[in-house]
Amino acid sequence: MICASLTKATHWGRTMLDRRTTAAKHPYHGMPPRAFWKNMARLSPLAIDGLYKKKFRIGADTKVASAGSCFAQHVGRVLKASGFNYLDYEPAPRLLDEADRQRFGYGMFSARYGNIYTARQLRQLLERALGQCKPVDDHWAVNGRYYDPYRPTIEPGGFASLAELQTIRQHHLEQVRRLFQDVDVFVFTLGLTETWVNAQDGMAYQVCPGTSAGIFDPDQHVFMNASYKSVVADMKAFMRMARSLNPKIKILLTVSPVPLAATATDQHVLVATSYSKSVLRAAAGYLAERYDSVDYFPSYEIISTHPFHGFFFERDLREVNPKGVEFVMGHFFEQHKIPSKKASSGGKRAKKKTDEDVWCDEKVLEKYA
Amino acid sequence: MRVLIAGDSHTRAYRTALERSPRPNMIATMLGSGSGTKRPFFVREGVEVRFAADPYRSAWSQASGRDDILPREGETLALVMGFHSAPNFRHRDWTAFAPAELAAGNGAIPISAAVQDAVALKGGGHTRRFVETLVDAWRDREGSRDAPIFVLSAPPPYRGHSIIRRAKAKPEVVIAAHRRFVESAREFFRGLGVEVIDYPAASTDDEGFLLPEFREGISPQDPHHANSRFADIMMDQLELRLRGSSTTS
Repeated sequence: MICASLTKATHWGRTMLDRRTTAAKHPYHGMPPRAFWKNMARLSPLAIDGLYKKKFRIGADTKVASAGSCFAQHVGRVLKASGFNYLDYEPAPRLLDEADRQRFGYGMFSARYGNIYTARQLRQLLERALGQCKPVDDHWAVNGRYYDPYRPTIEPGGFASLAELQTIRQHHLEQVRRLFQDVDVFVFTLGLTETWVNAQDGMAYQVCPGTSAGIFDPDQHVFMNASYKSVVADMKAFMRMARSLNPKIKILLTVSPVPLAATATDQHVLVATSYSKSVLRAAAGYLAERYDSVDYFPSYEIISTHPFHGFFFERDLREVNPKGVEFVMGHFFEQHKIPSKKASSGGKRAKKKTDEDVWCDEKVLEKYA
Repeated sequence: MRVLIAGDSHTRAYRTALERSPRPNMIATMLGSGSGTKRPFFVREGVEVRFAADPYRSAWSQASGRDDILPREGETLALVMGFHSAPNFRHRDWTAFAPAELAAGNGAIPISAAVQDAVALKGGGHTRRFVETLVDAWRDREGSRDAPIFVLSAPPPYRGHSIIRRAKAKPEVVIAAHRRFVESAREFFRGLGVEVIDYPAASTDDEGFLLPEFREGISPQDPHHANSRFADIMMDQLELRLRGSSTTS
């Protein structure tokens, strides 16, 4: 039996050979300078450009929303501050001051879903918003306070009553549904493959139960490290649902360069991080290749690959520093021009934000180090 | 017993009431506008606490004859601050948001009690820290003896407030916002061991709004003050409590 792909490769090889012999040419001949590592290696890291070519336009009138891991908060913030039409369907009361807004999960993303680290979380968020699933694990009651298992830190200290939790959650899911009906470009940053799921219905938790809230139960809370296939399947399921609400929705994927705070595998955290990011990067690449409506923006590469010498990480080698955010968004704005002169903190003039300005639920794991 | 009533602009009504009907041993001094509490407005030096700047400093000094704010022997300090809920309840947020228990089914955006408490905590400016500092200094000076410090509540909103009449916030939401603010402040002050003088139920209507008689004589443009009759009933409450304290002590 002859492998079809081998036949194709042989055919391709023969064709190229024929071409080389006839015209002294091959696929690398005439490729742009960016195709060659040597050209990039000669450059100062800050001079490396041309890393991203947009697939679709994001203009002043484009309705943009975002979700994802901690790094996605930087992206959303800069877009908002730069004059893009950034949607926020669960804005904070203006009475609440800036620090408290973040503490209560307002303004972090386009709705109050908190960090969405995994493709599974994103999928189930939309399933819940569409009424397609109802988690078995509805709430956690601890010392008279009530926590939403799927965004346990959204109310620090928990909700005052179950009724309060349910009312606010219902509103949240309604806003999520509205958001996906209205958005033009949804920016999603894939953060992790490692997750904890409910043993009965497979619903993914934001963080391991018992770390920031709730009580860990080994019979109920099961570790899962998503494979490439599983990430792609979850993203495809999410995209199907999103398109059912909004056929014109476009998706801009990024992969978070922020390493895992901790791994639950038996691997070293560095190796576990490499697995996680590789899977997510491959899945994002596949989806962007496969669908015209999906683009990939290489923030992961810009921050975490070795030509940038780790410049853009804070001393903990984890958090992305303000220069990194500025540099990443500079590449973004080369392709998606800042719409208004009012822009004050986007692109090259990004405000000096530090890691303290983003809320990272996964960071809770550091206290167990 | 000398009772020094001092505080923000709500104190003006107390002064007017005392000018009209003096009460033995009671003095009321408006220190300045409540906006003065948005910044740190006091300093502690050893077991003394002073106002950091004018107009609070000079107003206090003129009324008490000293800089230190802690009550002296035979004195009671009644503060009119920390319950000024008006910047909260009259905010246009309440035309869109509502406490979760009132939001369901009426199209408002629900917010949690904890969010309201966070607003109340900051909304009181530095008044909570001020009272806490007074109590700490008192304990350092006097040991375990209870500090003769009271906090008098500000009046509730009135029914015809423009946040309801013009901005169309729901009355029940406005009252709930006020009550949550008051509840948060009350809990804090009582936690310090400071007695809180609430406005009596007789001063409000069934919904909890200030009765119109306590707004008589106040300009309709004035968004939150009550008149001197309200101050009268608050001072009645204070006297009752003081008598109770002296009976039980």
